[in-house]
Amino acid sequence: MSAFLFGLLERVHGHLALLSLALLLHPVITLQTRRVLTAWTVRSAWIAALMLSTSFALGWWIYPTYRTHVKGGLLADAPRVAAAFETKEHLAFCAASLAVAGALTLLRAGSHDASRRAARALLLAAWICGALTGVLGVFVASVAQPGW
Amino acid sequence: MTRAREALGLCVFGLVSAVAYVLQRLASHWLGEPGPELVLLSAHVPFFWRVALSLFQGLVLGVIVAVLVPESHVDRWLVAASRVALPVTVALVAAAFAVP
Repeated sequence: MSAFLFGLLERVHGHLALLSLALLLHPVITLQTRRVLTAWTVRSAWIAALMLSTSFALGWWIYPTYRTHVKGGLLADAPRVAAAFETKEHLAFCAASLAVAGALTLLRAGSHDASRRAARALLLAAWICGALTGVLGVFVASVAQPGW
Repeated sequence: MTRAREALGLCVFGLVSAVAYVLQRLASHWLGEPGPELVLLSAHVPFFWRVALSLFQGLVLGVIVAVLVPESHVDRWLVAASRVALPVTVALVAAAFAVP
């Protein structure tokens, strides 16, 4: 992968994740404040989960290039940033799996009270993990650049 | 399979995948792993393995729970899943920061 493509995909990955987190707030808030499940709550949940998964998949795609060209230098020069990247990776997976599970739960059984409550808890958990991932991502991106 | 059962299976899938991922990370930290100087020499990418294995574990456990939990207990399990989701998330975040 060229440095240009890596940089481009890295930025798309970050921006897509940020947009999906903003969208994920909609079902998290409306499931808490409204008693009736609307079609747009379900839609925003699965669109956000899809966007978050796409962002995770992009991260997965560029990860081998990151390992080859960035990680070594980062471990040598800024070990704390390299550690932050690893934490970001863990939280990103948690966010993606929780968001997908929450959105699918809402999609399949949103009319059922207990299922809706469970979906809300999963989506909120996904948002917390995602927001922390975003903060760490901004921190890492400010230091970690392709070294070629 | 009822919608509530499907929801229970999906909740278990999400929670178990996330927990399994972090547990695998903690296990590899405690059992020993290559030092930073060997990262680039390693053909094995632990991140990919962890993601694949934890998705598989979440899927298997989700299906088992959705199939085996008695119908009368499904609602109780869903309520339990919604109650444990946030404490589990806090624990996952703490573990992810403690062992990068």
